[in-house]
Amino acid sequence: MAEIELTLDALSYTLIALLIAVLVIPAVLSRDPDVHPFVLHRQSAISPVRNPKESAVYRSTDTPFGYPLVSGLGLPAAQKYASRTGDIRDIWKLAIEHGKGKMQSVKGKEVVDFSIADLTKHIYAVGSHFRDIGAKSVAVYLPNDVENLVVSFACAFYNIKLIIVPFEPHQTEGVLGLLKETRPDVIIAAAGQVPLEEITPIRPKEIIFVVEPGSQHLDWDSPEGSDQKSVVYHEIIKNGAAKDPEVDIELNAPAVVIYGPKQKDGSRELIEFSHRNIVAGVASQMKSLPTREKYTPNDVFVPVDTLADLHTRIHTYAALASGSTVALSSIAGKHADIETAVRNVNPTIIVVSPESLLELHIRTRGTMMELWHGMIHYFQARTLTNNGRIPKGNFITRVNDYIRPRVGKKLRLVFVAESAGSPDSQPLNSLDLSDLRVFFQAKVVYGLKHYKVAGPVTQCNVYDYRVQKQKSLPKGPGRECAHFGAPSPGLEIKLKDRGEYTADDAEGPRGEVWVTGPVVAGGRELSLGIVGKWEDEGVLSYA
Amino acid sequence: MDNAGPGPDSAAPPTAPEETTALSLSSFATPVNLTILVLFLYVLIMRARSPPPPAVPRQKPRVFQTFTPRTLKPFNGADQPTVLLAVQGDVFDVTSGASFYGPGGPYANFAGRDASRGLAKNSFDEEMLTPIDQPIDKLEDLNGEEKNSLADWKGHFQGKYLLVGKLVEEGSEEAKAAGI
Repeated sequence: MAEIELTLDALSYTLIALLIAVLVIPAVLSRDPDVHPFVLHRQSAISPVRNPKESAVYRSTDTPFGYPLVSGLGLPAAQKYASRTGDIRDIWKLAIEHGKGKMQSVKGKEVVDFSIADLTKHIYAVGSHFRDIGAKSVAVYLPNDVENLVVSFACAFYNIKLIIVPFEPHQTEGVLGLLKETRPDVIIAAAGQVPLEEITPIRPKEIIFVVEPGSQHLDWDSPEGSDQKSVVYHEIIKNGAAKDPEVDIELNAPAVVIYGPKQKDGSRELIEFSHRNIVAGVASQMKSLPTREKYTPNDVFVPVDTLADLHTRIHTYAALASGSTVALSSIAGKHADIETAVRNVNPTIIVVSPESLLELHIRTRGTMMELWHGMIHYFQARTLTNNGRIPKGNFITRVNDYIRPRVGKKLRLVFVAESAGSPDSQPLNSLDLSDLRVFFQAKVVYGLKHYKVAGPVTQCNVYDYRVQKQKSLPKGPGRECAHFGAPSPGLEIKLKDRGEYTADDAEGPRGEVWVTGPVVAGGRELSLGIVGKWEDEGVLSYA
Repeated sequence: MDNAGPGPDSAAPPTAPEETTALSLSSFATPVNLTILVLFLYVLIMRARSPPPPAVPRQKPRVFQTFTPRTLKPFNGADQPTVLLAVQGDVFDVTSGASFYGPGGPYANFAGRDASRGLAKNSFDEEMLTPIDQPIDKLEDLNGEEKNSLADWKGHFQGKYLLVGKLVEEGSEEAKAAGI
């Protein structure tokens, strides 16, 4: 045994070379992950003391205990060292101040530019028109287009209640039923989209039709055989004399009214948001992103979901307030085709519905026919989960490019959220989200939204690319759902014991989700009507 | 190692015929080569495997407790390592300031007791404490200065120490609800 022969032949040298190669090459080629992995281990600030029968209170790490929740835009005030909350008008003023002075409208293959200065004039013209006819509430029933935002801000500047009617490009629900509940003074709709007899029973003071440029020569003003007054939008905005009325705004008064999801009996709840709720939602969305990922004036933002969805609207307002160029596509909606909606725009940030994203996922998966598609996809997905980086691709992965969704080369952020408390929500699972990050070569940020909360309730860390063990939904068999990330900086969350779900559960605190904070409508603690669970790293998921 | 090849004076002559027949394979299958091969394969497999997700220790927040003067008494640093004291019905965990509030500290009298009156009157004497079998001090006789002093002290505790419970009357509804 003493004499072991240490002969090295050609094979030995080859093997040693290979061994050194597998040890050294990954070390040389490895790059840092996008974020230190420990950041993903502690994603919430957790209160050190909890009440019996409740979980601890969870907050964003941006607003830990002892600090106030984000409640406003923090604009410079008249006094030194003070800041003011701001109101919805300030979102537009920030867009004028920081933006590149334009907004875009995607019409099929064409992209039409609008200047912010012109749109500001339109806002004053439309607002002063509302004031002149004595409107107290205005219902907007429009697709995603500049008119929608102009009317929304006109209401804010002239202190008029804005009613956002649920809108889908292919809506089946009758608008009459929706308007009956709110009875607005003015209704704004796209010409030809809503039959007049659908609206006339509401007896509004006025109906304003938004007419496409191609149809403006037609006579829309005088409907035959009707005493209902109706005017056209393009005539109103010709009044260029109007100025900012600088009205005093009560921050806590209802400013925006939205409809809750359709219940089983067909009814919808109405939810009122104050200026304070909306700006808090916008400010906390702006705050929640890490410095490198914030909305900037260089970004192009496209809401691919409808602006009637408050979560999408808050993201849009956050983009406006940050000076990003907003591009609006009128096909936007719950089932909108993402590629069509962003055609010729090259967006950097989009907000989409989970339905749209899932449809795109299924379609892209379906085009992965060849063996190498799957292999390259596997390695790119590994870069995400093991190395914590977005795979930006190299010359080899380019053969996979033709299966990728055509969304431009600049996309960096995709926001998507599960609707809590909606009977027909479409959950996304962790694997699908990881796949979509590979397809888009961008960060896909999942969150949780609720119709009574301005902006996301919780949102995943932008850099959280991990794939978790999948969770089944409490609703029973169906798709599984990824976690929703940590609380937004504008609210705090706790779980209260309900039935079998308790704060003392062995696998982590579980219970009914309750939220409170400046972004919550009504100003009281609110139950989201779902049962959640805190994961060990401080993220919320379905129990 | 001058005797590398198999020779007639080799230690194991019976194996020699076998070696000549399988020369091409076995000459490479030396212990050294096998060791390096195993090492290489091991490193390769370890590289290919996903690293296991690191285990995150769960944070265990403490539960807000309800105390009566009697159940608060043991938390004086001597009977129990934790030092608690009550101010106007709020119970604070002052263990981190045990050099002041723990045994032998200048405020040791307050440990495990309702310290409100003593703090209001800025006196750390024994007679400032309500005996534990008597109702909780209502503090109705304090003058303005004493009330301010108490508010300052309470602010100090809120800023520095954790609020971990409340002090309620023995036999009250709240005490019964908490099971004491």
